[in-house]
Amino acid sequence: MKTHLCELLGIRYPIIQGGMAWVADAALAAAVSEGGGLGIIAAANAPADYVRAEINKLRAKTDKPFGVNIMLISPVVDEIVELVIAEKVPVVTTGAGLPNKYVPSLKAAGITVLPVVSSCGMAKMVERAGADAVIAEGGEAGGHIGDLNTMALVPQICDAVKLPVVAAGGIADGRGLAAVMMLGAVGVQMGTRFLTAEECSIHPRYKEKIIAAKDIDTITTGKRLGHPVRALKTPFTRAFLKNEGDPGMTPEELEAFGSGALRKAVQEGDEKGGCFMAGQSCGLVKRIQPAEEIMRETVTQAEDILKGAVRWVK
Amino acid sequence: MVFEKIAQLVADACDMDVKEVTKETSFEDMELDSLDVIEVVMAIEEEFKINLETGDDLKTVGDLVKLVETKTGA
Ligand SMILES: Cc1cc2nc3c(=O)[nH]c(=O)nc-3n(C[C@H](O)[C@H](O)[C@H](O)COP(=O)(O)O)c2cc1C
Repeated sequence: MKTHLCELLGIRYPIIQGGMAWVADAALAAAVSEGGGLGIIAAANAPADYVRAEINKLRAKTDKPFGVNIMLISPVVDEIVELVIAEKVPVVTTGAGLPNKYVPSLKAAGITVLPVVSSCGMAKMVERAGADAVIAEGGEAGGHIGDLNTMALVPQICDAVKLPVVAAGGIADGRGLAAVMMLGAVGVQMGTRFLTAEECSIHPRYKEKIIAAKDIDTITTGKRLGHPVRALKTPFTRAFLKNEGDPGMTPEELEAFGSGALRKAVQEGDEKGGCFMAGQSCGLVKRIQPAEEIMRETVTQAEDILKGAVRWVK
Repeated sequence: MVFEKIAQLVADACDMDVKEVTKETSFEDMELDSLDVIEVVMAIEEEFKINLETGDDLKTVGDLVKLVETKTGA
C-alpha cells in the first residue's frame, strides 16, 4: 500500500503516530519512524529545552522522517515554533486551535505542516494559510476532542478542501484504515493503539487498563469547560463528571481539579488522581506489541480488506 | 456600519435577535465555541471581502469589530 501521504512525508506506511502529551516521547516516535510510519514527539506544554533533548534522542536512534506536535495553547508556543525551525524538524502537526499565524514561517523553513482540524471551516482556514495536509480528527479519539465523529467528518472535509486528508479518531486496525480510505482519506493518525506499543514508556498500569478496556469504557469530561476530553472511566473521571454537574463548583475549581491528571496517569499509573486519556477504539487494543508490528499488521489487514472489497460490486 | 453588519452575522449564527447583540457580547455568553467563531469569521470575510487570518483570540463582538476596522481602514 502506497498513498499520497507516503510520498508527502517520505514514509513507508500511511500511518502517523499521534502526538500525545506526556506520552509521545523520543522512544515511541523513533520506534514508529524507524518502523516505517511517522513518529511524533509531543511538545504539549513542555519547555523548549525538553523538546530539543527529545529531538536529539530521536535523531540518535533514527534518520527517518519524524514530526513534532505543537499544542497551540502551550504557554511557550512561540519558542517551540522557533525550535522546530532551528532544528529543521521535517514535519509539524498542530493541535488545539488554528496555527495560521505560524504557517508561513514553518513553510519557509521547509517544514511540512499538518494541522489537526475538527470542522470544515478550520480545514478551509488552514488550507488558505498554506498547510500541506489536514488531520481530520473525530470525537471517538482519546484526548481533547471535537464534536463530529470520524465517519461524518472525514468525507465532509475531503469535499471542503483540496488538500490530502488524514483521518484520526477511532481507528485502531486495518479495518479502520481501509474504511477511512473509502471515505477519501490518504492515511491515518492513531493514538490509542500506540499507547500499548512496546516502546511506549507510559506506566504499565496505563497499558493494562487500555488492554482491559471494552467498547463502553471511555467517557467525555470537561464539556462545561469548553474543552471536552475523552478518557477511561476511572474513579478520577467519575469524580470529575460529578463535580462538573455541581453548580457550586466554579470553572476555576474544575480546572484545578483536572490539572496534572494526565501526568499522574502516565508516570504514576494513579487511578484516583490520574486521567487515562484513551479513545473509543480501546476495546480493539488487545496486547503489547512493537510499534513496527502494529503498523505492519494494520496495513496488511487493510490491504486484504481493500483487495476483497471488489466482491461487493460484481 | 461595520458593527451593524457584524452584529447581524453573529445574530444569524446563533439565531438570536440582532437587537440583543452589543459590542460587549461575548461568544461564550452566546454559547458559540471556537469552531462556531471560525464560521462567523468566514462569513465576515465574505461580507467585507477581506482576510482575517485569525479566529482564536477573539472573545467578544467588539474584538471582531476592531479587527475588521483595522483591516478595512474604516
Ligand atoms: C493520551 C493522549 C494524549 C494526547 N495528546 C495530544 C496532544 O498533546 N496534541 C494533539 O494534537 N493530540 C493529542 N492527542 C490526540 C492524538 O494525537 C490522536 O489524534 C488521537 O489519539 C487519535 O484518535 P485515537 O485515540 O482514536 O487513535 C492525544 C491522545 C491521547 C490518547
